[in-house]
Amino acid sequence: MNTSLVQLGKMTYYEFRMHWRGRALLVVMLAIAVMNIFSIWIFSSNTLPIELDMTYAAVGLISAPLTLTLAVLLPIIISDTIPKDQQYGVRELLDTLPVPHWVYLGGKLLGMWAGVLLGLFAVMVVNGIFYHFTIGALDLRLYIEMWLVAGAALLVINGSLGVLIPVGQPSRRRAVILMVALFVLPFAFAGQIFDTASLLAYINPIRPAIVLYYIANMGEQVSGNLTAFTSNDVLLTIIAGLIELTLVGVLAWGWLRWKENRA
Amino acid sequence: MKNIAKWAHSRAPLRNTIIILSLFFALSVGATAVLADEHFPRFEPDACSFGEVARIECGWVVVPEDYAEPDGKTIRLAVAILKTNNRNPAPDPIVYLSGGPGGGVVEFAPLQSTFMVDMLLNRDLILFDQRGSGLSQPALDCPELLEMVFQQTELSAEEKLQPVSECYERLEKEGVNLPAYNTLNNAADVDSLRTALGYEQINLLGGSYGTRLALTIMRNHPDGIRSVILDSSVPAQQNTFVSIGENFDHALQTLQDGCNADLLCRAFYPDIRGTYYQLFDQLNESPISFEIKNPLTQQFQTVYVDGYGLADMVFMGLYSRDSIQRVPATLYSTLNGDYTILESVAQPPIQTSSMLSYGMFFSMMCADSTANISQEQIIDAADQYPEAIAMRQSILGEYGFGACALWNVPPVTNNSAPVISDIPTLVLAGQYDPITPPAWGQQVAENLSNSFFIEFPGVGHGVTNNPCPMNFAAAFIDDPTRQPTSGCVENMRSLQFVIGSDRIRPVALIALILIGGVALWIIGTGAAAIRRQPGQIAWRAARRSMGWIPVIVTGLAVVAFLLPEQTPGAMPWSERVRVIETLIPLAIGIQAALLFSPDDEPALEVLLACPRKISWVLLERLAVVLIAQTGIALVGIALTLALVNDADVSLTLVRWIPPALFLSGVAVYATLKSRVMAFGMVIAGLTWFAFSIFGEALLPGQPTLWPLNYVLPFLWPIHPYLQPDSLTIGDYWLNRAFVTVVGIGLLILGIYQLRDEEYVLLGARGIKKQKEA
Repeated sequence: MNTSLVQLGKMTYYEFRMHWRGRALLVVMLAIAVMNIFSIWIFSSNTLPIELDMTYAAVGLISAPLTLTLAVLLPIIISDTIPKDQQYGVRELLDTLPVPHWVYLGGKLLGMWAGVLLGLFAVMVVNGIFYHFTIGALDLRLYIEMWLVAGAALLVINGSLGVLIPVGQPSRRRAVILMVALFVLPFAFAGQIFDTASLLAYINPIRPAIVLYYIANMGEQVSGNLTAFTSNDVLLTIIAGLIELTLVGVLAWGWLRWKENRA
Repeated sequence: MKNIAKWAHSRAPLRNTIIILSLFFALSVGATAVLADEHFPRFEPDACSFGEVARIECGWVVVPEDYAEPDGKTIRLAVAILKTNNRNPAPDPIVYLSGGPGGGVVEFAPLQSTFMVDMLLNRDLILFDQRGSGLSQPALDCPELLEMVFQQTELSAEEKLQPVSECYERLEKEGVNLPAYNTLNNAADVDSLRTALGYEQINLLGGSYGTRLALTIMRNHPDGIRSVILDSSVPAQQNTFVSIGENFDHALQTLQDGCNADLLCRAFYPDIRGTYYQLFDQLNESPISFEIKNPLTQQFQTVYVDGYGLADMVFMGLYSRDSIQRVPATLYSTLNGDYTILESVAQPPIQTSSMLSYGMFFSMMCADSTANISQEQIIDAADQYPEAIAMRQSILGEYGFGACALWNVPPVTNNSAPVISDIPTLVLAGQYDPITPPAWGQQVAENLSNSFFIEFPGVGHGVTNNPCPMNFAAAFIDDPTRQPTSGCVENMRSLQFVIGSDRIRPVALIALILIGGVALWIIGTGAAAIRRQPGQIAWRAARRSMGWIPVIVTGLAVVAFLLPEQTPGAMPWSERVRVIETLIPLAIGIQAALLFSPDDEPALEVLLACPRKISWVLLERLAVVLIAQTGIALVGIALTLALVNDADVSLTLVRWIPPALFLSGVAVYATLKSRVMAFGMVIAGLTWFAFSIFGEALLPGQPTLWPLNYVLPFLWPIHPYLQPDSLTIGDYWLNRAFVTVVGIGLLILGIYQLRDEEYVLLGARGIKKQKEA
């Protein structure tokens, strides 16, 4: 067991470094940071015609690029994490080593989580500091809550699905195409996305309840008309996502075992 | 009875007297209690006309119609009391005095509670409709006049005054004592309101005509006034009819000065006044017309704009910060035949007009402004300012004075001297105000010993419509002994003058010709090279590497958007048919990113060793993607044309192509430059997201932050998701051509990365390492 844990740690560290060596993650984090800074800058210009509860409004606006990026873009960007090994023949090499499949998959997931979390933390701090100096004091509780609930939840659920779903794909290109298909189709059923009471909304890969929860709070401040997802909807979406993740994880582990036995 | 009489007679006479007096007293109290219900002024609570809203109470204040006849007819003033959330509110509320005169505010109380939230922090806010306006009874509305305002047809002076006469006669027949509707009685109403609602002291917030009303209250009813805020002041000694020309001229000069302070405005709009003159004459010779929605009937109506109509629009355009920024562009683009901006600016004045009670307006204005002046004096004053020729037709100029001749109310002669007071007063003025210039505010402040004067840059009439002046006003009311200060004034300094697309059109055309010329030359050269060395086209290999999943997904998405029936609350057709131009370019962009990335390509060395140029591979795969997705697009277009009756065929056929080429160019270039397909896909996805969601921010006239305002006017040609109705149709097709050429240009630049096989194999970093080794 100790050996496996050591292997898990090493794999995690390796994956963490590999994610940051590639430019995609850096670009995504920079894009979130820049979009948020731009939004905060607009807020600070005092051009809004009505008074808003600035904390809710700012948090809502900041959450939009964050949640959409983590919900849609992140799974596509990291979808080649496992198929890359297959494409370059590293998978066969790993199969000859005494690395259990759960260590392999766990290392991939943990490394991805660590890499993205570091980026999110940096963006959270940068955006928070910028907000403090341009607008004023932020409601820290709400701000951190948004990053934890929206950011971390989407990272764990959608990010992990992005790693695990393409486990059977033979090449990076196929993996990316598969994930694009999975995350583009939900947009086709746009009417369901805003249905707060629908099972389809909870299992929708884009996680509309999480994506829209903080944006809708801001919308209520502006127009009072926007349908708001409740915190119950967010909780149910997270639970549904974790269930999906568990199922996909078991299937991925099972597939790897089957493939090894076949070989 | 006999027993009572015997009993009374048997007792001492004093007791009898006491009993009789007690009965008399009881009867008197009862009678007084009954009579007390009929005293003036009094407040009668009532339900709000807009329904029940938290923290808003409504009712009526009953006052005499004419304070010279207190026992005569009464009128009812509509009142809305907006309660503060503060648990320890100040005992002195703010009473808002609206402008016009004749503007009603009570029906907008729920909206005002949002706009004036700063005022509600520590004290209640009272809105009331002045006598004859809004919901007050009677309301002196003139529907006869509104019809004429909307028509704006070519009428003679007599024809334009006819509705005024009709309105006057109708109100007279209804028994309205029109001479009683003057500012003196209006001021007395405010004091009555204070008394009826039981306040020892109140604060006044007056805007435009409301400032004249406030000054009259300060003169005639100073008791009970704690502080006053005057926004866009009308001094008692000024006459609007006489000064309209001078004020308009001053505002035009200020506009020119403000434009000259902006780099782009100075370059593109060097002579605003000259352009205004030229356009004024041109429109008088050949008026133009377009359709707008009549706010009363909700029907589209043709609006006729001649030089005088233009003058009104420019005048009203100088009221608000947003419209001030558009005036130069409106004038120049209209002169060039582009009416896009003019049509967007034309709406507000007509909507404003429908919110005024013109009967109250004429009663107040004529009583206040016609003492001791003649029509000749007005004409003489206007002649000194040629631009003001147009204002003669305005309701505040010669036309208005002519209307006063028909609106037979006696002038008020004892309200024209400057108001001298020591009541703490904050006087606010807007730099570009065309009707109550900052000089008038200074004039008012000179005679108020406890006053502060602040001029706000970059705004016109009614400065408290902006957050910064509103903050000042709220701070002053909390402490009227100190001049409020804030850094927000600095943010208001620079206006972002709109640069119309007509100004950028020549620049965009030149850029299009240059880039397009280069692109065509490169394509021609490449085509010639390909002809010299015909190679085999590997369609099957290309199809296999691109896969069928993206095509299936895109097809499903397009069908899923278009096929479901239209149900209430569902996305409207105008948005649904945009699925082709939205999703297909995205699909093409993503697939373009996956075409060829050196770091991800299996067997790259083998490919490079083949006798075909590597760029062939990319072009083959791109052709497969384009052909497949074009097929999906054509299916979608066929569905659109079948389902939507009034779809523009030519537009529907081609509007998706420029964004598709643009996104594919971006994706190919990003992938080949970075050598990683995921990176190219991220860039393509982010580009699509940014332009499709935020693309409207690139249009001329959209608010932006310094220094982006210097770049924004030049960005509309590059907006891949520009809609046909955003600009003129000519500019739209110029944009389509520009986006297409840029997309092809980026594709060419991307393919250029493949020129050197060693570079493709090793990348820049690898070549550098090799050289170092």
